[in-house]
Amino acid sequence: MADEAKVLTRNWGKPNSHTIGAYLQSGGYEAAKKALAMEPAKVSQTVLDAGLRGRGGAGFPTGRKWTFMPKDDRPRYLCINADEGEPGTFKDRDIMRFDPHMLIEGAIIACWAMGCKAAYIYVRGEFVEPADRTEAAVKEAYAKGFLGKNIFGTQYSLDVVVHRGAGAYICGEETSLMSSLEGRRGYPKIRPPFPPQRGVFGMPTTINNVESIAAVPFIINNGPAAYKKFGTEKSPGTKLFSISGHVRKPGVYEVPLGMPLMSFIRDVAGGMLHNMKLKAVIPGGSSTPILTAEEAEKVNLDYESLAAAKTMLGSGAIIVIAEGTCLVKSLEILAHFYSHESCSQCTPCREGTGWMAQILHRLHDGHGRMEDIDLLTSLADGMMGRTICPLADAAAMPVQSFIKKFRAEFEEHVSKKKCPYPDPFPVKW
Amino acid sequence: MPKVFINGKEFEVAAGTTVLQAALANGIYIPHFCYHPHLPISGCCRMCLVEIEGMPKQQISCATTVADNMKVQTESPAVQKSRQIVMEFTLKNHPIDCPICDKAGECTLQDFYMRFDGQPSRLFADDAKVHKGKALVMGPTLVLDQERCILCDRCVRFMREVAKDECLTLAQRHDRVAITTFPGREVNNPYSLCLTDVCPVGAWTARDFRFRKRVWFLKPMPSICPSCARGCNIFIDQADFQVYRIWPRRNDQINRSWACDQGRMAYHALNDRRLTQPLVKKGGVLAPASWEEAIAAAAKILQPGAGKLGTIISASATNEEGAALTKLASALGAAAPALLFGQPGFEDEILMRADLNANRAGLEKLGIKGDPVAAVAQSNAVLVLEALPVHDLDLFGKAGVVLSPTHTKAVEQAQVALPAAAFSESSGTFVNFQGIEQPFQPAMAPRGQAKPALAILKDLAQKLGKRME
Repeated sequence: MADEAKVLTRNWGKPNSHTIGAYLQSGGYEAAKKALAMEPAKVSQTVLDAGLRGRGGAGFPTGRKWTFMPKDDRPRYLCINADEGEPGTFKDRDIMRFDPHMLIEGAIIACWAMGCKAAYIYVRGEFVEPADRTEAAVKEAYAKGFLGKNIFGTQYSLDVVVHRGAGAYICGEETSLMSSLEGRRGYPKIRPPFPPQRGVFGMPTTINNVESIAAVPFIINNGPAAYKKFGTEKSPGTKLFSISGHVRKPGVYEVPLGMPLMSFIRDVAGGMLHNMKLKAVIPGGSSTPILTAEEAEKVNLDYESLAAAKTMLGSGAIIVIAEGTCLVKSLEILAHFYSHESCSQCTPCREGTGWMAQILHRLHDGHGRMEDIDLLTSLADGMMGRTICPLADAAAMPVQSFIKKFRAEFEEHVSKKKCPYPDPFPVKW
Repeated sequence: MPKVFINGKEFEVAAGTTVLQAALANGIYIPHFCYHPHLPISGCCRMCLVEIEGMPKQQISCATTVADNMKVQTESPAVQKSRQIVMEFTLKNHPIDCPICDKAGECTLQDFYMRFDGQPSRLFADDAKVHKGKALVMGPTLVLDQERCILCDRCVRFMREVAKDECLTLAQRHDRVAITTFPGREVNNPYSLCLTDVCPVGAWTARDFRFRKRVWFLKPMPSICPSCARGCNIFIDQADFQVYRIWPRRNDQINRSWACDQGRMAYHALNDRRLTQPLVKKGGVLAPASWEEAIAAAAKILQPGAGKLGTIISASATNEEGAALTKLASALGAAAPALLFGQPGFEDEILMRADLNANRAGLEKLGIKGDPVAAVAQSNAVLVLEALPVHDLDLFGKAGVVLSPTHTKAVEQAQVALPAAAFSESSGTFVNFQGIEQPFQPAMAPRGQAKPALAILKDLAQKLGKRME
């Protein structure tokens, strides 16, 4: 079943799939030529009709986002967010490693639809190979005349710049990505003004995720109906899921949206490692609320089903946790990550993330007090919705959901004055 | 003009006003750390969160523009709760060392805790706080305590946007973040001490003022800075007849919220080297004398017929002093007063003016503009009225009666030196370079036996049998 739905991964595994030769052989850049012959508004409409939703986590319709660009003469930019930093998420990395030309072709189509003369691909600094391959692909595209002046022999010119980040998770947040791109400290900005009004370098800007842009050539080539064949009514299309944790075959898989979570784990990811018992699943990247094994049985991998379970599809990063794993330690690690990556701008996030990490550290070490558990929840509640960007929410949601769903485990750490597990992570790789 | 309802009360405000500005302008206080009326919006402290009808989350009032018929709640239980939450986070890594902190007594964090928080700490005794740099000397004028800093970002914005000297930045991330200078830089700027004003806590302190006085002993009195033609509005902080510091008083037309370091440091001239008693030259040496003796000695020099009399007035004297001296000069048959204005200084686009005098515009409007060197050369005797800041005046051996608040070159050469009150000790009017008239009142009593120059001139006129009306 997974083999049929190949929108983004159709070239993966072919020899030299990252080069322009392989991409052209599989019919590459035909969609870009087709789009350049269409009215720009028609291109946006096609993407909107296909129901493509932003794959960065928010799930906002991509075609609609493009229409927010103002109709004036100012220079305008497309920023492609390749600063994939959420723990558990590694799908965009493989698009750039295995098929960077699909991303470039998508960028050409998106820029044509919005009238951009330049696009930036902001690649996470640690992604050395993906950035190298994307840069090489951009060079190849320039050499073929697919980028630069008068691309494909038309009147349209487009430049694409690959920009490497410097190692801050926060730069994956769109407004701090813009700050970073401008050469400033990666601080999120207050909205409004929104990027389409005042974006990078003060000009209208649209920021899209790598996966969203990479899906565009298929939609242009095959039409909205072909894309809508996959997925559910409200979450059409396919999505890349990066699955990690206690499964036999962790990795990146493309499946149609709406697949039941358990059949994804069982049939696509090879089932539980060593047939261990499932304890919990984080369904959409480390910031999304955790699901118990029981809840995981009932959800499907689409925006609506996961929202109904009070969690999120997010970036599609599934973290599978088996019985025997210490969730207090797991949460401590997450809290430490969010504390380390807090940009320091807003008081609740700067101080709250550090405080939570401090408390979780002593809880796991057996020095915790019963009051600490409610203190954690109350700190998380205090951080929610009181900051410029959603990093504080991202740090607070796992704390709230872990404690709500696995409170006994936290209490056990306090009453036994130590971690009840002989090893917080039962299986090493 | 949009209408806004704050706590149910209707206000009409100019388009583009933020909720915070609208509230403050109408006497509704919303607590804030990072907002400053003369700095760009940062929005990072989260203290000014308010509820706005129709918005799912609380909004920071400093960055929310008023829309027509917006309904804002600034005192609802949810908003009060938010303030307590933000205060708790703000205090998490603050050392709470108020007893040894120079800012105690005028600290926004302290005030807000008393007014908006008041909750006990939920930290345990063994909870470590993050430690950062203490008492770091950041330049010739400033000391920084990074632990007391609440990261409101005001100092960074001040240096970048107002002083146009981007030397400060935030280094590191999360709760390890700290204000510091760029590598190899220091804060060495003519406006550096403004950082101690914009800093809401005791992170930035002035090397000049640190540990000199607890602020609750200080009495701040409004005055006008005489150090240049800008006429910055200031407070003079004084206690037990000493001035401890000068700091800016907000005036949006003239100095906004700022003052230059030179103007602030001018307070030393109000304490040191003051002329505190009348002096009369006897046997070539200036010797203390009573006011009566001194006035009599001065009248002898100034009386009509004793020779050609010249008059000179400092360009930092008040309008009232200028008018009085002009009248006295004409009553004595002396030449009209010449204007002593000294050498020009440094000028910039921010505050500092090259004209280092408080009132040249006002005195010139009174017709006082003669050359002081010529006035000395053409006279046998001169009556000089000096003021702070002082400019060198050479009497070239002419008989001089000098009214001055401090020891100057002219005082040394005078036959009679009369101690005049400084600007901080008298009332008067200055006209700044923009033509704005600024009357002011005395901030404190005159030093020693000094008297306001106007009173001295009146005494002289009386002794000489002249009327100044």
